[in-house]
Amino acid sequence: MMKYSPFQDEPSSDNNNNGQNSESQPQSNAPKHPISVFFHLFFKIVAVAIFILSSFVNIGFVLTFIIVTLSSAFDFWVTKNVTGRKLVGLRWWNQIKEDGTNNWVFESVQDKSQVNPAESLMFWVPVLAFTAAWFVFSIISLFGLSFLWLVVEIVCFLLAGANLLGYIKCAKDARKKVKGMAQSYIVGTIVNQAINRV
Amino acid sequence: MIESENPNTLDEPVIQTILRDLKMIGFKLYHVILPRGNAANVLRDWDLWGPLILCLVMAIFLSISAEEQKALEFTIVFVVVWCGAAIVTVNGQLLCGNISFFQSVCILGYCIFPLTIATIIIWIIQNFTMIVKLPIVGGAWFWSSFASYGFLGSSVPESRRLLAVYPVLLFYLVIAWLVVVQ
Repeated sequence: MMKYSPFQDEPSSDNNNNGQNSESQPQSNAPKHPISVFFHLFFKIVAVAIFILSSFVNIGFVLTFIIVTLSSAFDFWVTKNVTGRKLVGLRWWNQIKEDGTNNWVFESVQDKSQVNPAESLMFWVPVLAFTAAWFVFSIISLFGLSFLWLVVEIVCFLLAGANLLGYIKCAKDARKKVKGMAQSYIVGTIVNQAINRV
Repeated sequence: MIESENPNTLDEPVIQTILRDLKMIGFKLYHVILPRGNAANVLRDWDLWGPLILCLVMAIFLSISAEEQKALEFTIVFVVVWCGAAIVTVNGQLLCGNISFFQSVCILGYCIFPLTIATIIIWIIQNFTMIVKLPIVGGAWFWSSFASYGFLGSSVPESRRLLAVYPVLLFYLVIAWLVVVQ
C-alpha cells in the first residue's frame, strides 16, 4: 500500500468529505488490487509526463510521438481489459454482428461487496481527468496552430475518450440490471457516487 | 469463483487476456501474409494493435531515412495511413458494404504489412536507386492490395465492387509512393 501512497491522497480525502459510505470505505472487505491501481495510473501518467517534458527537454518529436502514442495505446488496453474489471467490476465489448452493425456488450459483477469504493474512485477519476486533459491539450494545439502535436493529442484523446464512453455506458447498464433485479442498491449507489463525484 | 460456472470474463487471469489478444494479432497477420478464403473469422474480432504497430514502424523507418523535416515526414505517414484508411472505409460503407467501420480500418491497417516490410528492406540494403526500389515496392503494393481484396471484396455487392476496390488500390498506391520517394 505504501508504494502507492502518492496516488491515495485525492480519493481518500474525497471519500471522507462524503461520509455516506464512511463505514464501508476504510476497512472494506472487498479485495484490494494495488497492482491494478498502479497500472491504471502508470501509462496515463507516462504519456502525459513525456508529452509535457518534451516541451522543456529536447527529446525529439518522433521519439515523443512514439512513446506517448504507445503509452496511450497500452493504457487503453489495460483500462479496457484489466483494471475496469478488477477495480469496478465492469467490462465493455463492442461486438460486430454478421451484417456489419455493432452492438455493445456489458458485463458487471453482481456482488457489489466485491467493489472497493476507494478503488472505484481511483478508477473513475483518472479515466475522466486524463480524457479531459487530452481534450484541453488538443484545443491548445489547435489554436496554437501546432498541427504536428495536434495529431498526437487527438490520438490520445480518442483512445481515452473511447474508454470513458464505454465505461459510462457500462455503468449505466449495470445500474439498470441492478434496478431490474431489485436485489441490491449498494452497487447503484457506488456507481452513482463514483459518476456524480467525477 | 469457478470459470465454468461463470460465463462472463470478469474473473479471467490477466495472462489469459494478454494471450488471447496476442493470438488474435498473430492470426490476422498470418492471414495477411497468406491470403486465403475464410475472411469471416478474421474479421469478427477487430483490433487496432496491428495497424498501430505497422504504421509506427513504417513511419520510423521513413523518417530516419528522410534528410530533413523528419518530424513532418513521420506525421505525414501516420496521418496518411489512418485518415486514408478512414476515407476508404467510409467509401465502402456508402457503397452499402456490410462491414463495420473499425473492421474495415483494421483490415486496411493490417494489409500495409507488405509495404512495411518493403520499407525495412529498402532501408537495410541502403540502395535508393529507382531500379531497385520500384520492383520491391511494386510487389509489396500488389501483395497489400491482393490481401485486402480478399477481405473487403466480398463485403460489397458485386455490381459495386470495382467502385469499392479502386480507392483501396489508390490508398496503397499513395503509401507505396511515400515509400518509393524516401
